[in-house]
Amino acid sequence: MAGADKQALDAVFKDVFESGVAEGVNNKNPLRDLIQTEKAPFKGREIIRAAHTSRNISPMFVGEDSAFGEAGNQGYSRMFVDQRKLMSRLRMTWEVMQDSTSNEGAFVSARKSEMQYLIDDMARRDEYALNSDGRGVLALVDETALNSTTLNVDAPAGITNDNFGNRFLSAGMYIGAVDPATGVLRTSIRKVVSVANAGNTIVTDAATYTLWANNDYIVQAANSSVTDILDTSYEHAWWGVMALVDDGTYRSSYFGLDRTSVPAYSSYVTASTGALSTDLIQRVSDVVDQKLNGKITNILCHHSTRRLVIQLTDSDRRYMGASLIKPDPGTAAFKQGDIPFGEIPVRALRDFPLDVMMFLDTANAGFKEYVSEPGKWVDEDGSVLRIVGTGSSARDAWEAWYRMRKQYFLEYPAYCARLDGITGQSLVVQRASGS
Amino acid sequence: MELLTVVNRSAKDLNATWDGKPILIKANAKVALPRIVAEAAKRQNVIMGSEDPYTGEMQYLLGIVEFNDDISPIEQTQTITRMNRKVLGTDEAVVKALGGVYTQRDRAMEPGLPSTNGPARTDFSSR
Repeated sequence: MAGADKQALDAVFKDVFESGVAEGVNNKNPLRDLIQTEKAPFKGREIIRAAHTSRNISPMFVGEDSAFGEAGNQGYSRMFVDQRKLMSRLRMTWEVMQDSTSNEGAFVSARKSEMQYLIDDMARRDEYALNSDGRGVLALVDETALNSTTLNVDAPAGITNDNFGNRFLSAGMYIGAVDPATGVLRTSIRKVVSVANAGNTIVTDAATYTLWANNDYIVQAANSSVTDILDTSYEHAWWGVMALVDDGTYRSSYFGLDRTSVPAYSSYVTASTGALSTDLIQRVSDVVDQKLNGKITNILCHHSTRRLVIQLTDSDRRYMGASLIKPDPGTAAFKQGDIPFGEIPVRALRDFPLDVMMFLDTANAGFKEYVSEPGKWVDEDGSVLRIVGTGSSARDAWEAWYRMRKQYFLEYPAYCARLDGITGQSLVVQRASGS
Repeated sequence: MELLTVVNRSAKDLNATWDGKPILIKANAKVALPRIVAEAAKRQNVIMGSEDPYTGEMQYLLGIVEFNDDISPIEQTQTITRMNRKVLGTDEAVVKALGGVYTQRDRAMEPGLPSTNGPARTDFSSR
C-alpha cells in the first residue's frame, strides 16, 4: 500500500531518550553497614596492643604452717596491628571529559560518573574483604589437569566450600596462583575473560597455567606481566570477620599472638556442623556465655542458610482468628527483614560464606578500625587528575587514583562464635548485579 | 615443632583447613602433620552422627597414632547431624502445649526425616 507510514517517514522520527542513567549495579554493602566500628587513628610502624592473657597460678589452699605455692605472675602478650591498602584508578581522555559535560551531549558526565562510581566500587571491595579472612584470595584452584581456558575453582574467598567458587571473580581481572604452603607466586598470570553467573568455573584468556596446582590460592594481579607477589592482592586485604572470629582455621596467628595458646583470642568454632537445629544454636550462646560472659547480639549467615532457620519453626506454625482466612505462609524474611532467634536478629548477607553461621556480641567484642586513610583521591602533588605519560609516551589523557588504608581489629574474639559446615540448605546464589 | 602421625581411616580423600591453608589427606594415607594442624584436621573430620549428646564425645575420620586413636578403617555415614540423636530416643523431652502444638522433635528425630519417636515418654526414672 502506498502512502505515509513510519517506515516511509523514518528519517523524520527522533529517538527519545529518558533523562538520567538507571542504576544496574548492586551497591548495597550490608556487612559494612551492620558492623559499627570504633575508629582509631593509625600512626608509626604498627599499633601494639597489650593484652592480659594469663593468671598467677600461686593461689593454693593450705594447711597450718604448711608450704604454699611458688610465686607466679600475670601473663601479658602483645599484638601487632598493621595496615592494609586498597587502591584503584581511572583513566579518561580529554575528549570524553569535554564532550560529556552538558546534558545535551551525554546522559551523564564521564568525569562525574567515573569518579563517583569508583568510590562505590571501592566500597564493594571493602565488603568482600570484610566477609573474608583478609588473605586477598578470590578462590582456590579446583582441578589437577589445568589444560583448558575453562578453569574450575572452589572455596570462594578462600573459605572452604565446594559451591559457587567464582563468586568473587569478575571478568577483566588479572589473576595469579599462589602456592599456599610457601606464599610464592606461580609463573603464569591469566586474564579472566568471562564468569558464569553462579558456578565453579571461569574462562581465562589462555590455557597456560605454568606450575599451577590444585588448591592453589587464586589472587588478583595488577597486570599481565606481574612476577612479584608484592604486585598481587595476596596478604594485602584487611582482615574480615572470618579472620577476626576464628579459632585458627583461617588465621592461627591473631596479629602475632598464637590463638591456640590464648583462649581469649580464639572464638568458639564448630567444624562439620551438619544440619542446623535449635539446640545447636542455643549451645553456641551457652558456650560464649561460659567463656567470656558473651551475649550474642547478631547472627550472620547467607540467605540460603537463613532459610534453614525459617524451616526450624515451619512445622510449628499455626493460624488462628483472622489469619485463618488469610494465612500468611511467609515470614519477615520475605521483606528481607531480620527473623529472630531468641530475639536476636538473623541477618542474611549477600557475600557471606555459604555454609557458615556467625554469632557476634557487638556490644562487648570491640570491633575496631585502625585507619590511616579512610578514603581519599590521591592529591599530594596538588591535583587529583594527573596527565598520563611523559615524552614519547605522553597522551592527552588523565588518571586519578583513590586510596583507602586501614585494618579491622576485634578486641575480644572469644565473645563471638561460628558454626562452619552447615548442611541441608538448598543453595540459591546470585552474583551481585554488576560484579 | 612436634609432628604427629595422622591416618585417614576412610577410602576417600579428606580435606582440612588450618591457617587458611587447604590440606588434602589422601584416602587411607598416613601423613605427618604439626601437632596443632593434626588436631585441627581431626576436629574438622567428624563422623556424622557420632557425637554423644550426653558426653560430647565423638568419632573422627582421622586418627592420630600418638594419641592412641582408633585408626581402623571406617567410612562417613549418611547421618545429617553431628549429634547422635538416636541415643536420646524416647528420653528426649517433648513439650506438647495445650493448644496441640508440638515441638519439631516430636515429629522427627532429625529435621527432614520421618518420625521414629513414637509417643512422648513421661517416665524418666530409668535414666
